[in-house]
Amino acid sequence: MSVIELDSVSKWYGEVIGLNNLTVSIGHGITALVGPNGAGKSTLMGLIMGQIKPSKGDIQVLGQRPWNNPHVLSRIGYCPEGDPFWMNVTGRQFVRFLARLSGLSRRAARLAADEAIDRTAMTGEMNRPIGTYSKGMRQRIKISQALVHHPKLLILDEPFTGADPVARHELATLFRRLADEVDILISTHVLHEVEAMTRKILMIARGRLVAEGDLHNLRRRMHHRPHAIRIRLDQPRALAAQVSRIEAVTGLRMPEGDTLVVETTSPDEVYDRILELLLEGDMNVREIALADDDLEAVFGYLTDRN
Amino acid sequence: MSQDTHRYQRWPGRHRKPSTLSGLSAIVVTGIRLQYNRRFVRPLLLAGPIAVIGICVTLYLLSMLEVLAGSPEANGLYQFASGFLGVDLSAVSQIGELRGVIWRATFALVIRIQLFAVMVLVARIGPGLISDDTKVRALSIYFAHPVNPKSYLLGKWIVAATFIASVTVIPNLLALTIGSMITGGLPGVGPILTLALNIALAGLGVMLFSGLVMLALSSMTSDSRYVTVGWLAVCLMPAMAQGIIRENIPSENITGWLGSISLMGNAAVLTEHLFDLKSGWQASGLPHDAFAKALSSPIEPFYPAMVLGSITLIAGTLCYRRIVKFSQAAAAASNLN
Repeated sequence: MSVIELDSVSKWYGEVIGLNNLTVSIGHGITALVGPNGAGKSTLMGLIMGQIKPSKGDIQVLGQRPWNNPHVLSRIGYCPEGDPFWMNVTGRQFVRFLARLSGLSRRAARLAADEAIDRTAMTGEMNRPIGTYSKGMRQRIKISQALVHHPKLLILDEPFTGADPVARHELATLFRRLADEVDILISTHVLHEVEAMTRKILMIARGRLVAEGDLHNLRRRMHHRPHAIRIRLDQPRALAAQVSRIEAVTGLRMPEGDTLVVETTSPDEVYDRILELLLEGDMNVREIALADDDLEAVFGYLTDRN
Repeated sequence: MSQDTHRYQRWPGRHRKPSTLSGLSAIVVTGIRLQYNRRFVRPLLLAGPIAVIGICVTLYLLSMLEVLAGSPEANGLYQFASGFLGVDLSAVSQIGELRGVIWRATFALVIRIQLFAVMVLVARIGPGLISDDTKVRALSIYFAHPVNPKSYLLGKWIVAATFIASVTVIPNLLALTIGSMITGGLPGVGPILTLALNIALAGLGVMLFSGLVMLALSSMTSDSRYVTVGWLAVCLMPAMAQGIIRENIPSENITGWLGSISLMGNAAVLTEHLFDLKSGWQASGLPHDAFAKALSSPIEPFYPAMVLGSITLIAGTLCYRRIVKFSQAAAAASNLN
């Protein structure tokens, strides 16, 4: 049975189309919702959480229509993008508050909050004000609040934003474990981030479903397209010297003093190899991501093909 | 991050129907805690205990006047009554018979004074009620839970109302209780209950108007500084305009809508009407000159009620519509700021 079913769903805001005639079925486990900024991911998540009413079509989430249905919301855990925090409250107070919002009693909220915080290994930091947290800690406390009421469906909006490569790996491991018990929908605009967790993806662009299914099949379809991986670090030249030796690398660019862009037709292989080089070289990395403009090109390519 | 070693525990029972009360109380408790910890809020809340002491002392002094009426020792108390209530009681021998109207006038006057405390306190605790949530985009989290816009608005209003009540209704009712104990109270339970009800109704009016207007302002911007400026403008500008009108137009011509511009003035007229002061003083047997100063301008309560009621209704509707808009994720993502 599907967790989420969309049947010919459209949503438009005046003359602007947010989502265009989307029919899709999302099953159990982890599903990645991939698309560039403005693709309609937020609209789709709003529809799934019943915060937006579809202009046309039908949506079923966990067997019920979500629009104006608090019962569905109480079974969904949502981790939004950004930092939706009041900085002077502690992580524990924040998670407890949201547990209470989910309908838990005071005592149950207290217990559930401590358990959820423990799940994301934030117990040691839970009594500190959120304003003193690092980006990664904030990400983890957000995940705690999404887990606190033991949802059946977890919706994660760009959960890797701001996390360093190590934290990304650990978050991915956590999500994989959670997927044994709870179904997860992850929204991201970075394709590589989801590869470590799932092969089931939905790609949307300009409000339309561009592709769905197995990630590796899609990769094969796009294989001849060059991909760019952007890395921001302290010693880009040192990394460039090592990356140039990788056979699958087709080009190297340094658009800014602290940025290295690696072009390749085998992003999987090169991405993994770069991570290894970064760890071996103990380099101070600030960001590693698939370049957005390249992702746009990939979606453009898939959109044209469709 | 060290990974957990135990498995995710599925909820040990069926998911309950979400409780609106639980979400509402969470919004209220968290809201009160956040606002209470703001700077200067605790000193401002001292207006409550100060009001209790002030009212009790006043009621005690007025009861002393009943005992000392006609004696030379009462001269200072007559001056106090004249200065505070605006009523010359020196010609009355049985002041105890006027205790009912004197107490009503005392509380009506105290409420007028408390409006200034409310204005300052709401300017401190109110601006962030919604704007802080929109600023950090916390609404995306609120409405991802079983919380609807009505619960959210009600929760935020209760936060504002709690603070307002703590400097108006609560100290006034407490003072009425203590004052009744130390002076013997009003004759019979009925007048005391009526007075308590009037105090509660006046407080509810202040809470509705101040709370909803502040929430409407707070929902319009994510910068709470603009909200503070807007609130002070709403409170003070009409009063200034009314003052200019009074300076330039003969008072007998200031009637109807023209006399109902000042929000504070409107609140005073309605309070006076609610506490039935005009007929109370007229029935006291005192000449009109003796209590003329105790009554505000002769505006019919219809106009102030319409002005304050309309503003409250518009503010409530506006605020609710904004929150409904915020609750829709896509709208929140694209249009919040």
